Amino acid sequence: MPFLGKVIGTIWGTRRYPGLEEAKMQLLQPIDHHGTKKGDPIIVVDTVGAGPGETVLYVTAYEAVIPYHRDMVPIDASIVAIVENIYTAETKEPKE
Amino acid sequence: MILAKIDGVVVAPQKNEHLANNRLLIAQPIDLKGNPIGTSMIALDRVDAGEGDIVLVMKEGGSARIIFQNQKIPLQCVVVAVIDNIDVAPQFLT
Repeated sequence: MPFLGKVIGTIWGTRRYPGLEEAKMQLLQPIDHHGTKKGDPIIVVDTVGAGPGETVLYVTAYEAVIPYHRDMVPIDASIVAIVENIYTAETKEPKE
Repeated sequence: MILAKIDGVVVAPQKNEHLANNRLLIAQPIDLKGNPIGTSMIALDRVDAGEGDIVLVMKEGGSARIIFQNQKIPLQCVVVAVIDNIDVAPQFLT
């Protein structure tokens, strides 16, 4: 479970399960803190207004429904923060 | 809970309102010898851990909600302790 990801696109679908109508769904590639891809892209619901190309923080499982404005909606992953910088011992300098 | 080493800090000014005013740390899970295992994860700091510290990471959302006394916090990983020393019988280190 990496929790960091890069938004790589947007998903559109007109006919949705009740409650999901207002959800903004995006395609996300999970990465680690070096920027290396980890696993296959997933679909996440965006609750903070992230755009393609941005590095974000996401949560999965039950916690994914909490940021959404409705309860009891079938969501299994959602974006909770937009990452500005990652500071590590190796980089010392701000890294995308 | 798992053992992890703090590799760095993530700065994210725009985040969920319930996550505000907390530090986000990069926690790299390690084995008993200190070698990294698996993918790093992002954990909220509760014990003022810093870069290079060996810590205990709670990897479960329900416990995170208990720690923060907040049912609306969208969080799955919390740093709950800083490790000073680990004592393991040598036969388990091979």
